[in-house]
Amino acid sequence: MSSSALTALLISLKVSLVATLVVLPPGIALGLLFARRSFPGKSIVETLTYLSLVLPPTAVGYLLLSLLARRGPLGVNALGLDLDLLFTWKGAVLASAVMALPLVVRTARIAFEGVNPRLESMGRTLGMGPLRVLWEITLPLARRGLLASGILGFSRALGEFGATVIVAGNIPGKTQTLALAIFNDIQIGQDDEARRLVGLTAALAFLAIWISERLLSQRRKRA
Amino acid sequence: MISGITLDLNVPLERFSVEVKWETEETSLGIFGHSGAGKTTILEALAGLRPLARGLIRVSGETWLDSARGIDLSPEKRGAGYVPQDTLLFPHRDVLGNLLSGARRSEGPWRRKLSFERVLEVLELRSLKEARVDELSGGERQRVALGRALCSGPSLLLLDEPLAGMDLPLRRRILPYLIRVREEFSVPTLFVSHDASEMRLLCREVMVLELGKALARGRPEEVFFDASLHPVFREEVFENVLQGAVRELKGPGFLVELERDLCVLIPRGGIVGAGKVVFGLRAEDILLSLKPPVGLSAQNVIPGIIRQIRRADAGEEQDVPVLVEVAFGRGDLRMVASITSQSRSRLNLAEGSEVHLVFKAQSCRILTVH
Amino acid sequence: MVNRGIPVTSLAMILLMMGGSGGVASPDSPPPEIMLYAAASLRESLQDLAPTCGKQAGAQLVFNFGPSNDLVRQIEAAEKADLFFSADEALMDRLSKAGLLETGTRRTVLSNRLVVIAPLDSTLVIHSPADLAGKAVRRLSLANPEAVPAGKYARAWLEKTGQWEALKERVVPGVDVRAALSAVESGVVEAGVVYATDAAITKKVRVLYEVPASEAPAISYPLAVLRSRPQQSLAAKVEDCLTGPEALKVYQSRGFIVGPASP
Repeated sequence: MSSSALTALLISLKVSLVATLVVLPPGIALGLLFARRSFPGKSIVETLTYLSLVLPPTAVGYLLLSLLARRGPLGVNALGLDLDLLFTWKGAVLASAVMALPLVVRTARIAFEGVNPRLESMGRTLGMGPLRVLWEITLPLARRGLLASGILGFSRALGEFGATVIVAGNIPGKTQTLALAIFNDIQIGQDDEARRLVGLTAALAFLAIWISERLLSQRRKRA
Repeated sequence: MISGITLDLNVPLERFSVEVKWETEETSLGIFGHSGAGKTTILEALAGLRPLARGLIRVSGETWLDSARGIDLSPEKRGAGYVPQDTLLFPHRDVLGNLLSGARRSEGPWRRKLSFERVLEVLELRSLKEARVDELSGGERQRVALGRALCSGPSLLLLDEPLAGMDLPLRRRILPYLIRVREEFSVPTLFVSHDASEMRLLCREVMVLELGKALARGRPEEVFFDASLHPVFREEVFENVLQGAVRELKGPGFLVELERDLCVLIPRGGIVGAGKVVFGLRAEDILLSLKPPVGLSAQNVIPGIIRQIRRADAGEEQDVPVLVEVAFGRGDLRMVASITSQSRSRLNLAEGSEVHLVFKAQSCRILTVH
Repeated sequence: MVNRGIPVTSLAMILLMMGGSGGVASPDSPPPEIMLYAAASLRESLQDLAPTCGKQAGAQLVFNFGPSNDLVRQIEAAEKADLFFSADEALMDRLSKAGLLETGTRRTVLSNRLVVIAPLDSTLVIHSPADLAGKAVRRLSLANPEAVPAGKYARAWLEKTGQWEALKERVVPGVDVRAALSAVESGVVEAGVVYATDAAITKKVRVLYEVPASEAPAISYPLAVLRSRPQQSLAAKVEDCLTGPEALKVYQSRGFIVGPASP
């Protein structure tokens, strides 16, 4: 593997793993909220959450860029401090996390809907408070689906391009993920390198899916 | 020790409201009624799972609900051990894990702590400790659910149709556990059932519920007797519940001694060897005869004296069943027969009349043995 | 036997009609399209010229603007362009070597200059290339210096003036020169290097420094007709117009330097 390919691979892994870790807690929390509670304005909140699933990634990238630009609502001028997200790997993490969020939320919600709420009530009657019920009953029973949501989020982050290229730029060694590196190689006419990267990305994707399938089928056998 | 249960509940449902009042010192209680009458609603309201419930709930001196004073304890703060009809065992834990689910509450100083070992013994769960939930049979599931509720140190056990969905042999096997639990642990228990005879074995005070309102309350024998006369429950034929020691085998049946020198022949029903037998006999399966019958196929003929005759409330109907309560044996035993009012007139039956109770061995059904 | 002859003749006639109909523009049908792939920096000038040159040649000009390197890749992949207006000679050479150019049609009539720009509210001052490497410039926006002509020219300038090593870590590469411009407009970078003609189309940037010809590499915009396309003669007419005196006036008004670059 060439050193630039290795660099792109490491950046891809770093960005995708961190993005997954960043997006899982809010994603799972929202999934739980949508599965278990109704409240006024719920459909609006749900629609907003799923927005980045439907919008083109470039549109999402543009929105993020507008928010974070110097003169934007989250820019240096407005906040008084520089979040230093644009054109950095952290910006790539943000873009990937935003694009992965709706997938994580939907999968998590389905996972929680598959847990019989009466089992949760049973836990309460046995003396478990709501947090204990969440920790000892809801989460373990939703484990399979939550794992799937994590893997789905990771896969989405791995393949992210449109929003990432706008928010983080295509800077080799800093924000150039595998997807961006492939684009770059095509642009500068380095077809051989592009092909190698495509092969590498495919191998990575294959590995992710294979691991997830094995994990999920293991659980199916045990449960 | 403060005991007893006080209820003054109002729970709005889709088609009607459940409104019941109950104040009792008895600890084996039952709620009887048709499906949809609101029985499960009452249990869930007691457990704290019905946010719309209003009124008053006091159990063994603790106030769980008092809407007037703004008290509404959340389920985990109440001491209800709830065993629902579908058991709701935790599929991700084995039997031991399920049994210990409520353990933390039982360690609180204000909870009655039941010996975990004793629960295992009484419900015969020791051999199942490591089993997974999906490996359990229906009867085993019930026992584990019961054990789980007991191990959580409850002040009140709520059992929702614990024998529903079981075939006859299984019900016969589980019933003793329920009786044993009552005798061994003396936790106040509220059973819900639609089987009157089983309730008579398990409860000392019964409430009959219809469309959310109590129709009757009191001792099971009286309540069910009255209920059989009520138009709502006319379909539920009154069943006599009798018990006695097995004297000997006779042909394909048992000879059961209800009293010294008073035996009844009942079918063995596949049971091999037993000490005491509890069996049921439906009122409409009993014939009344002024003189001992001759050359009749029925094997059981018992002389007795009519103590009371009650006609079912029927309004316009002509041929309405009549319940005849007959005292027999030394005078303490009672059996209720159901005949038509025409027959009653024809035989000119009245209180004090001497009659014979005539019934086939086949009409008796064994409820349980011990 | 007679019957077999009729379908074949009909088919031949239909094919002839299809092949031939593209050539003649009858007064009722719309003018045939001529597809021009052009460097992004030429956008405004060519859009200005489209109506006149179209009418003159009897064609409708359709454009595909982008970074010249990517346009070349597209042409190599699928020959859909009638004309190619590149921002550097090397890319045109590539097409020539591949035998994709119509012989004798390659002409160079334009050159350009590089400028250093900053967001409108910037207080940065650049007197010389060395000032760029100062601490104030955390990020420098260029068109991708590995491939896009505007970026390669900028890099050549910085290498020639010895500032590339210091600056190469701070480069934010844009997909073309307009992306580089837009980054400066929106203030996400402190400075950028684009063509003078790009700075001229927007009011949202300040020009800090004009790269003198002595420091900059030779910038050159060759134009050529591509071979094996159905509208050869029409394309040639369009090329004549785009390199004629009217056109040169338009390019000049937009800030281009007319005439090939001095070596």
